[in-house]
Amino acid sequence: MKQEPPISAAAVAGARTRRPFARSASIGMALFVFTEAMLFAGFISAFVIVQSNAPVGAWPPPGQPRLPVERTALNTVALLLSGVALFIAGRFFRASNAPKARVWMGLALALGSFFVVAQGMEWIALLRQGLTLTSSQLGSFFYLIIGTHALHAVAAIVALGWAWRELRAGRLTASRFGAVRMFWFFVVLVWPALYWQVYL
Amino acid sequence: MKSPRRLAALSALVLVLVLAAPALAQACEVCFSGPPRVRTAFFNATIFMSLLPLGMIGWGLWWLRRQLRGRLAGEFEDRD
Repeated sequence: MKQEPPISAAAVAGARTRRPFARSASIGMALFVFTEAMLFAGFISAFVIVQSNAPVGAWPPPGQPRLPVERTALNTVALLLSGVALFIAGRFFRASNAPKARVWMGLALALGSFFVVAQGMEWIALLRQGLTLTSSQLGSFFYLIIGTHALHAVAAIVALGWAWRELRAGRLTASRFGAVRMFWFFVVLVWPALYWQVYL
Repeated sequence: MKSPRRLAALSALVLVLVLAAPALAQACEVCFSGPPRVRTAFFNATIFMSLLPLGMIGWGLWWLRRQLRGRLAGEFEDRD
Protein backbone atom coordinates (compact mmCIF):
# COMPACT_ATOMS: atom_id res chain seq x y z
CA MET A 1 0.00 0.00 0.00
CA LYS A 2 1.33 3.40 -0.99
CA GLN A 3 2.16 5.67 1.92
CA GLU A 4 1.02 9.28 1.94
CA PRO A 5 3.85 11.87 1.95
CA PRO A 6 4.23 13.69 5.27
CA ILE A 7 2.53 17.08 5.52
CA SER A 8 5.02 19.91 5.95
CA ALA A 9 4.85 22.26 8.93
CA ALA A 10 4.42 25.20 6.52
CA ALA A 11 1.33 23.56 4.99
CA VAL A 12 -0.18 22.99 8.43
CA ALA A 13 0.48 26.60 9.41
CA GLY A 14 -1.03 27.79 6.12
CA ALA A 15 -4.15 25.72 6.67
CA ARG A 16 -4.55 27.15 10.15
CA THR A 17 -4.26 30.76 9.03
CA ARG A 18 -6.30 30.40 5.83
CA ARG A 19 -9.37 32.58 5.81
CA PRO A 20 -12.68 31.42 4.34
CA PHE A 21 -13.37 32.89 0.88
CA ALA A 22 -16.67 34.38 2.08
CA ARG A 23 -18.19 35.14 5.44
CA SER A 24 -20.97 32.84 6.59
CA ALA A 25 -23.21 35.79 7.48
CA SER A 26 -22.81 37.24 3.98
CA ILE A 27 -23.61 33.94 2.28
CA GLY A 28 -26.64 33.40 4.51
CA MET A 29 -27.91 36.92 3.86
CA ALA A 30 -27.27 36.59 0.11
CA LEU A 31 -29.41 33.43 0.01
CA PHE A 32 -32.14 35.17 2.01
CA VAL A 33 -32.04 38.20 -0.30
CA PHE A 34 -32.23 35.87 -3.32
CA THR A 35 -35.46 34.30 -2.05
CA GLU A 36 -36.92 37.68 -1.09
CA ALA A 37 -36.11 39.10 -4.52
CA MET A 38 -38.05 36.22 -6.09
CA LEU A 39 -40.96 36.88 -3.71
CA PHE A 40 -41.18 40.49 -4.87
CA ALA A 41 -40.71 39.42 -8.49
CA GLY A 42 -43.72 37.13 -8.10
CA PHE A 43 -45.81 39.93 -6.59
CA ILE A 44 -44.87 42.35 -9.35
CA SER A 45 -45.57 39.81 -12.11
CA ALA A 46 -49.02 39.04 -10.65
CA PHE A 47 -49.76 42.76 -10.30
CA VAL A 48 -48.77 43.50 -13.91
CA ILE A 49 -50.95 40.67 -15.25
CA VAL A 50 -54.00 41.70 -13.17
CA GLN A 51 -53.48 45.32 -14.25
CA SER A 52 -53.36 44.28 -17.91
CA ASN A 53 -56.65 42.37 -17.50
CA ALA A 54 -58.48 45.55 -16.49
CA PRO A 55 -60.45 47.26 -19.29
CA VAL A 56 -58.72 50.21 -20.96
CA GLY A 57 -59.08 53.32 -18.80
CA ALA A 58 -60.31 51.36 -15.79
CA TRP A 59 -57.03 51.32 -13.87
CA PRO A 60 -56.91 52.54 -11.14
CA PRO A 61 -60.44 51.17 -10.60
CA PRO A 62 -63.20 53.80 -10.61
CA GLY A 63 -64.16 55.14 -7.18
CA GLN A 64 -60.78 54.36 -5.71
CA PRO A 65 -58.35 57.07 -4.59
CA ARG A 66 -55.27 57.82 -6.66
CA LEU A 67 -51.97 56.86 -5.08
CA PRO A 68 -49.88 59.81 -3.83
CA VAL A 69 -47.17 59.78 -6.49
CA GLU A 70 -45.41 63.05 -5.59
CA ARG A 71 -45.24 62.52 -1.84
CA THR A 72 -44.01 58.98 -2.31
CA ALA A 73 -41.34 60.31 -4.68
CA LEU A 74 -40.00 62.35 -1.75
CA ASN A 75 -39.99 59.23 0.44
CA THR A 76 -38.19 57.38 -2.34
CA VAL A 77 -35.45 60.01 -2.40
CA ALA A 78 -35.07 59.69 1.40
CA LEU A 79 -34.73 55.91 1.14
CA LEU A 80 -32.20 56.14 -1.69
CA LEU A 81 -30.19 58.69 0.31
CA SER A 82 -30.19 56.29 3.27
CA GLY A 83 -28.55 53.72 0.98
CA VAL A 84 -25.89 56.26 0.00
CA ALA A 85 -25.32 57.12 3.68
CA LEU A 86 -24.83 53.46 4.57
CA PHE A 87 -22.45 53.03 1.65
CA ILE A 88 -20.33 55.89 3.01
CA ALA A 89 -20.57 54.40 6.51
CA GLY A 90 -19.16 51.16 5.07
CA ARG A 91 -16.19 53.05 3.65
CA PHE A 92 -15.41 54.57 7.05
CA PHE A 93 -15.94 51.21 8.78
CA ARG A 94 -13.41 49.55 6.48
CA ALA A 95 -10.98 52.39 7.16
CA SER A 96 -11.43 51.66 10.92
CA ASN A 97 -12.89 55.14 11.45
CA ALA A 98 -15.68 54.09 13.82
CA PRO A 99 -16.88 57.59 14.90
CA LYS A 100 -17.54 58.70 11.30
CA ALA A 101 -19.03 55.32 10.40
CA ARG A 102 -21.42 55.72 13.34
CA VAL A 103 -22.50 59.19 12.17
CA TRP A 104 -23.26 58.01 8.62
CA MET A 105 -24.96 54.88 9.90
CA GLY A 106 -27.10 57.03 12.17
CA LEU A 107 -28.03 59.20 9.18
CA ALA A 108 -29.03 56.10 7.20
CA LEU A 109 -31.12 54.98 10.15
CA ALA A 110 -32.84 58.37 10.42
CA LEU A 111 -33.63 58.51 6.68
CA GLY A 112 -34.94 54.94 6.73
CA SER A 113 -37.14 55.72 9.72
CA PHE A 114 -38.46 58.82 7.95
CA PHE A 115 -39.39 56.64 4.98
CA VAL A 116 -41.34 54.17 7.12
CA VAL A 117 -43.14 56.87 9.13
CA ALA A 118 -44.04 58.86 5.99
CA GLN A 119 -45.32 55.72 4.28
CA GLY A 120 -47.39 54.91 7.37
CA MET A 121 -48.96 58.37 7.27
CA GLU A 122 -49.79 57.86 3.59
CA TRP A 123 -51.46 54.56 4.42
CA ILE A 124 -53.65 56.21 7.05
CA ALA A 125 -54.74 58.84 4.50
CA LEU A 126 -55.48 56.17 1.87
CA LEU A 127 -57.49 54.08 4.33
CA ARG A 128 -59.57 57.15 5.20
CA GLN A 129 -60.19 57.74 1.48
CA GLY A 130 -61.53 54.20 1.09
CA LEU A 131 -58.61 52.20 -0.28
CA THR A 132 -58.61 49.03 1.81
CA LEU A 133 -57.38 45.49 1.41
CA THR A 134 -60.82 44.39 0.16
CA SER A 135 -62.03 47.54 -1.66
CA SER A 136 -60.48 46.60 -5.04
CA GLN A 137 -57.72 44.65 -6.71
CA LEU A 138 -55.58 47.78 -6.53
CA GLY A 139 -56.09 47.93 -2.75
CA SER A 140 -55.30 44.24 -2.33
CA PHE A 141 -52.08 44.45 -4.32
CA PHE A 142 -51.08 47.80 -2.87
CA TYR A 143 -51.25 46.65 0.75
CA LEU A 144 -49.74 43.27 -0.07
CA ILE A 145 -46.75 44.52 -2.06
CA ILE A 146 -46.06 47.81 -0.28
CA GLY A 147 -46.91 46.24 3.09
CA THR A 148 -44.43 43.43 2.54
CA HIS A 149 -41.78 45.99 1.67
CA ALA A 150 -42.67 48.02 4.77
CA LEU A 151 -42.19 44.91 6.92
CA HIS A 152 -38.77 44.43 5.37
CA ALA A 153 -37.94 48.10 5.93
CA VAL A 154 -38.91 47.84 9.63
CA ALA A 155 -36.79 44.68 10.01
CA ALA A 156 -33.88 46.45 8.29
CA ILE A 157 -34.23 49.44 10.64
CA VAL A 158 -34.17 47.13 13.67
CA ALA A 159 -31.08 45.37 12.29
CA LEU A 160 -29.33 48.64 11.51
CA GLY A 161 -30.19 50.01 14.95
CA TRP A 162 -28.65 46.91 16.50
CA ALA A 163 -25.54 47.32 14.31
CA TRP A 164 -25.27 50.99 15.32
CA ARG A 165 -25.39 50.03 19.01
CA GLU A 166 -22.80 47.30 18.50
CA LEU A 167 -20.54 49.75 16.66
CA ARG A 168 -20.83 52.23 19.51
CA ALA A 169 -19.86 49.49 21.96
CA GLY A 170 -16.92 48.50 19.74
CA ARG A 171 -18.31 44.99 19.16
CA LEU A 172 -19.49 45.18 15.54
CA THR A 173 -17.65 42.70 13.32
CA ALA A 174 -17.15 43.15 9.59
CA SER A 175 -19.14 39.98 8.97
CA ARG A 176 -22.24 41.19 10.78
CA PHE A 177 -22.01 44.68 9.37
CA GLY A 178 -21.72 43.22 5.86
CA ALA A 179 -24.88 41.13 6.35
CA VAL A 180 -26.89 44.08 7.72
CA ARG A 181 -25.65 46.31 4.91
CA MET A 182 -26.64 43.76 2.26
CA PHE A 183 -30.18 43.55 3.67
CA TRP A 184 -30.49 47.33 3.81
CA PHE A 185 -29.30 47.68 0.21
CA PHE A 186 -31.88 45.10 -0.84
CA VAL A 187 -34.68 47.09 0.85
CA VAL A 188 -33.41 50.29 -0.78
CA LEU A 189 -32.90 48.90 -4.27
CA VAL A 190 -36.14 46.93 -4.54
CA TRP A 191 -38.20 50.02 -3.70
CA PRO A 192 -37.73 51.99 -6.99
CA ALA A 193 -38.98 48.94 -8.91
CA LEU A 194 -42.06 48.73 -6.66
CA TYR A 195 -42.67 52.47 -6.93
CA TRP A 196 -42.42 52.37 -10.71
CA GLN A 197 -44.80 49.43 -11.07
CA VAL A 198 -47.38 50.21 -8.39
CA TYR A 199 -47.48 54.01 -8.22
CA LEU A 200 -46.64 55.19 -11.75
CA MET B 1 -15.50 10.75 -36.56
CA LYS B 2 -19.20 10.12 -36.85
CA SER B 3 -20.58 7.79 -39.48
CA PRO B 4 -22.89 9.31 -42.14
CA ARG B 5 -25.79 7.16 -40.89
CA ARG B 6 -25.43 8.42 -37.33
CA LEU B 7 -25.14 12.01 -38.57
CA ALA B 8 -28.31 11.60 -40.64
CA ALA B 9 -30.17 10.17 -37.64
CA LEU B 10 -29.03 13.03 -35.45
CA SER B 11 -30.07 15.59 -38.09
CA ALA B 12 -33.50 13.97 -38.37
CA LEU B 13 -33.92 14.06 -34.61
CA VAL B 14 -33.02 17.75 -34.48
CA LEU B 15 -35.43 18.46 -37.35
CA VAL B 16 -38.27 16.67 -35.55
CA LEU B 17 -37.57 18.60 -32.35
CA VAL B 18 -37.45 21.92 -34.20
CA LEU B 19 -40.71 21.17 -36.02
CA ALA B 20 -42.41 19.95 -32.83
CA ALA B 21 -41.38 22.92 -30.68
CA PRO B 22 -43.92 25.45 -32.04
CA ALA B 23 -46.70 22.89 -31.62
CA LEU B 24 -45.73 22.43 -27.97
CA ALA B 25 -45.52 26.17 -27.45
CA GLN B 26 -49.04 26.65 -28.79
CA ALA B 27 -50.30 24.49 -25.96
CA CYS B 28 -49.61 27.46 -23.67
CA GLU B 29 -52.97 28.63 -22.36
CA VAL B 30 -52.14 32.30 -22.11
CA CYS B 31 -49.65 32.79 -24.96
CA PHE B 32 -52.04 32.74 -27.93
CA SER B 33 -55.40 33.76 -26.51
CA GLY B 34 -56.78 36.88 -24.88
CA PRO B 35 -56.22 40.53 -25.73
CA PRO B 36 -52.74 41.59 -26.89
CA ARG B 37 -52.20 43.61 -23.68
CA VAL B 38 -52.67 40.52 -21.52
CA ARG B 39 -50.47 38.41 -23.79
CA THR B 40 -47.73 41.05 -23.64
CA ALA B 41 -48.01 41.17 -19.84
CA PHE B 42 -47.68 37.37 -19.60
CA PHE B 43 -44.74 37.42 -22.00
CA ASN B 44 -42.93 40.17 -20.07
CA ALA B 45 -43.64 38.48 -16.73
CA THR B 46 -42.29 35.19 -18.08
CA ILE B 47 -39.08 36.84 -19.26
CA PHE B 48 -38.71 38.73 -15.96
CA MET B 49 -39.32 35.69 -13.78
CA SER B 50 -36.92 33.59 -15.88
CA LEU B 51 -34.05 36.05 -16.18
CA LEU B 52 -34.05 37.38 -12.61
CA PRO B 53 -32.98 34.13 -10.88
CA LEU B 54 -30.57 33.29 -13.69
CA GLY B 55 -29.07 36.77 -13.42
CA MET B 56 -28.69 36.47 -9.65
CA ILE B 57 -27.12 33.00 -9.92
CA GLY B 58 -24.80 34.29 -12.66
CA TRP B 59 -23.80 37.23 -10.48
CA GLY B 60 -23.16 34.85 -7.57
CA LEU B 61 -20.95 32.61 -9.69
CA TRP B 62 -19.03 35.62 -11.03
CA TRP B 63 -18.50 36.87 -7.47
CA LEU B 64 -17.39 33.40 -6.33
CA ARG B 65 -14.92 33.14 -9.22
CA ARG B 66 -13.51 36.56 -8.39
CA GLN B 67 -13.11 35.58 -4.73
CA LEU B 68 -11.50 32.23 -5.49
CA ARG B 69 -9.12 33.46 -8.19
CA GLY B 70 -6.92 35.34 -5.76
CA ARG B 71 -7.12 32.68 -3.05
CA LEU B 72 -6.22 29.72 -5.25
CA ALA B 73 -3.29 31.43 -6.94
CA GLY B 74 -0.79 30.34 -4.26
CA GLU B 75 -2.71 27.29 -3.03
CA PHE B 76 -0.18 24.58 -4.01
CA GLU B 77 3.06 26.51 -3.61
CA ASP B 78 3.92 25.08 -0.20
CA ARG B 79 3.31 21.47 -1.26
CA ASP B 80 5.97 21.28 -4.00
